[in-house]
Amino acid sequence: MEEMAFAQLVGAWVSIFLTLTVLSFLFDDNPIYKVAEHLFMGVATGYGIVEAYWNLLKPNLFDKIGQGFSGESDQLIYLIPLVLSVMLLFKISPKYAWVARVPIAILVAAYAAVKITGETSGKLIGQIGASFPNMSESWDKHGLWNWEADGAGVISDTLLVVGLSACLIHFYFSEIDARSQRLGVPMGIVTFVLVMACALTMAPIESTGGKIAVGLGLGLCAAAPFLTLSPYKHLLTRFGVMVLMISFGASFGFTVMGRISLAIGRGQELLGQSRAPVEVAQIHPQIATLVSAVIIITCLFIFRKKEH
Amino acid sequence: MLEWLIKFQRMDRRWVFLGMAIAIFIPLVFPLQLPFRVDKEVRDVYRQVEKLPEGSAVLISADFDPASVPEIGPFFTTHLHHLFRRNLKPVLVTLWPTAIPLVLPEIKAIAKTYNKKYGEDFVFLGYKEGKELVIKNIGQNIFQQFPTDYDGTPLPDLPIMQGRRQAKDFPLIVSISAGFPGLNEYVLQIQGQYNLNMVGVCTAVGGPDYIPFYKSGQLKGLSMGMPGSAQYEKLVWKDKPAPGVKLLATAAMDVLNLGHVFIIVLIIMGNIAFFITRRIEEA
Repeated sequence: MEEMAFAQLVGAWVSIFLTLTVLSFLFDDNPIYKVAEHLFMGVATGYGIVEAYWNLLKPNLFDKIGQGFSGESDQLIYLIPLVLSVMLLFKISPKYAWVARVPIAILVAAYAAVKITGETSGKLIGQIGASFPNMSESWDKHGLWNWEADGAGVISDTLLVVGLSACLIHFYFSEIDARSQRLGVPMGIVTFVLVMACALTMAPIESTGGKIAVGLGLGLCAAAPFLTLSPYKHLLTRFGVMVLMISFGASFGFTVMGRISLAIGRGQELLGQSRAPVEVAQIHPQIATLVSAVIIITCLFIFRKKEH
Repeated sequence: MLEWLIKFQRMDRRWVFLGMAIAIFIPLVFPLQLPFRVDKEVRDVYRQVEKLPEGSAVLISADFDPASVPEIGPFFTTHLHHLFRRNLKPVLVTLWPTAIPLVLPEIKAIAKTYNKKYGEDFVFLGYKEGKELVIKNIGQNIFQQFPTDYDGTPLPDLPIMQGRRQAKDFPLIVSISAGFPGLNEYVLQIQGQYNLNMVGVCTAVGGPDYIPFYKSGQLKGLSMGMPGSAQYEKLVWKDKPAPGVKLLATAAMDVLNLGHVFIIVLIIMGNIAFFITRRIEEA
């Protein structure tokens, strides 16, 4: 059996003790929780500074400037970021805070350039294309609704496009005058009929049922936004709100799942399930958990007694 | 009854914490082994690995911290087993400084069990600060961004890096991400630009943000949170895990189920109590 170092054993016990210390906050705010909190902040800051120095400042700045002074003249260009970094520190001086505006402006400009290209190629183009799925292909692959493919099919595609339109229209707050409101329904009907006719004649689908289904789907997708110019706009926006609520609900559900997962991770650590049997045999995590729990409960009891 | 409902609404929140603690610890100690199915998103991740020819290199960006290990740590471990078992070559980088102590010992330990050699069968290029800029450079020139590996060996001296100068030289890119910088930035900065074959692994909280990337085909597969890791474990270890391998995410599925049931019950009871007491108070 490979023996663990003493520091590793102590580290394992400390991690279990600190886990329970932090969890003690669920009972009540208390001094031992505060100790753990400050310890965490201190360790995280220390780790961050050391990492930043050894992985960022030293190899990318100090070493290169050093090379520059020792003969490699092209490396002296790194004096510019050093000067800019120093200029950033002027932010703390009320009198010379304006000096920091130069590096901040450069940072913002560079970051905007990097972000804009990424957002355009990754999100704008990619996601707009995916926002209107190929319904003929969907029909060929899945039909109206395919349970085995998580409900993929023409109905899902139609719901996606109509839901997206409804969500966007929900955020259209301008008042529409009564005259314009008369246009929506006739325009929607004409669009629906035209799109339906195009789909029936031109859709690359062999079956008539498929053509009708795709035509209906496409017609609905094309006609729905015209409801904005009608007295029925509120129906569309209500549907948009429902879609948004479902999406917020899904996000909330995922968040809850994430938090439970974190608790499970700690639970597995406390019970020694996440460690190899060799380590468990040496650390005895269950005993560590029990001892830590007893210490923390005793401390909580003493603190409570003192408070009262 | 009304009195009880009013009491329930004013219940001390610590009872909820206690209930959740019980819901977590009981199935951990006494596993129920409830069945679960594998989602298409995770099956696609598995398929992407399976269809790679032997000897291919896979670029893995392991961007996570200790807080996200319960969710995506099991995926990372299983993924390395999957790659080594299929004689594929992982090339690891990280954009999170906190990932180094999680990634390096893990890959070394797993590689040892498969008799894989550092520099030939796997490599860890280390951590680089710079967030999106590092990702952009990975797309353009890995050798420039990472002149040496984590141990300081120049990249041209590593056999595994021969002919693999940029992201598009890798037939598969795996972004294991717990947040920023991570999966989102990989998709935005290089996936679209170089049309990369890419799969994503994320925490449950980030899942809803990345589903559109999977649906649009920008990601070829997606594993979300602990259930994603459990499903991947199920696919990789079909019959039973190799000796010494613990299926932590699979073991946690019972707990996830019970934890969610507990929360759902609380939400339903809370709503019932709220509506009944409100109606009576109004009357």
